[in-house]
Amino acid sequence: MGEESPAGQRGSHPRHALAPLLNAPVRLSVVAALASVEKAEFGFVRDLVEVTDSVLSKQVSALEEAGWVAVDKGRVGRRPRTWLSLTAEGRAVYQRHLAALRAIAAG
Amino acid sequence: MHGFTDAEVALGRVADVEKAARARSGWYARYLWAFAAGQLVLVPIAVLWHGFASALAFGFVNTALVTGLSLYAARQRVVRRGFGVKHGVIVGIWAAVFVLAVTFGNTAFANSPAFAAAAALTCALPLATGAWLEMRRSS
Repeated sequence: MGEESPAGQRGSHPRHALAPLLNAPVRLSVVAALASVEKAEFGFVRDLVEVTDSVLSKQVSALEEAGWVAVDKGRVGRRPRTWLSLTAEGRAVYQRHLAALRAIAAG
Repeated sequence: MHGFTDAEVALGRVADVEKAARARSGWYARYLWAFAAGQLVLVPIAVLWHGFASALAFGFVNTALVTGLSLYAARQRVVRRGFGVKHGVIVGIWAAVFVLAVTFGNTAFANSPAFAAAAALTCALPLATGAWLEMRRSS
């Protein structure tokens, strides 16, 4: 996940604790949107993060592949609905990422 | 992202997004306020008014309230964290208080407007408390 020193050991700088997948602003925003809720509808996250359906779909696929986001498709009446939620692993990675960001910001 | 300025920008953006998502899950407070308000009508009907017309009125008001709240909840796009547990606890407490209120209201305190008023407020209390806590959480 982080960079390694020439001796093969990870450095002590907090940036080594950052999750590379969350360095993309859109992916970090998607995870942030899901972090404070149990689950959210695809359209809600799209509107909140201000991206198109295709962009969100691509970012969610990457996060789903990493095992950090779960996607559930269902229906309310005749309307199809796609729900997004953070997995336990995704929540843990996000918390570590935030801790690293705070450490970097603190200098 | 190596600089502290980038990190601060990212943290600021994350805080804004989290706050916006949390605010959107505030619908549950409105749900609970409506549920609490319904008790002020339902409980007096159940305690003070007896007979077929009472059962009909109670059934109509209760069905309208439950249907309205269910449709409102189904339309929401965000579900708060820990929704299932919190809703279960609040509705469980309300159900226990409601059963006690109706039981005593039809036996020991039959036809007592004072008891009906107190019972209505007592039944609304767990729902109103949940709504108030929810408003604080999502604001």
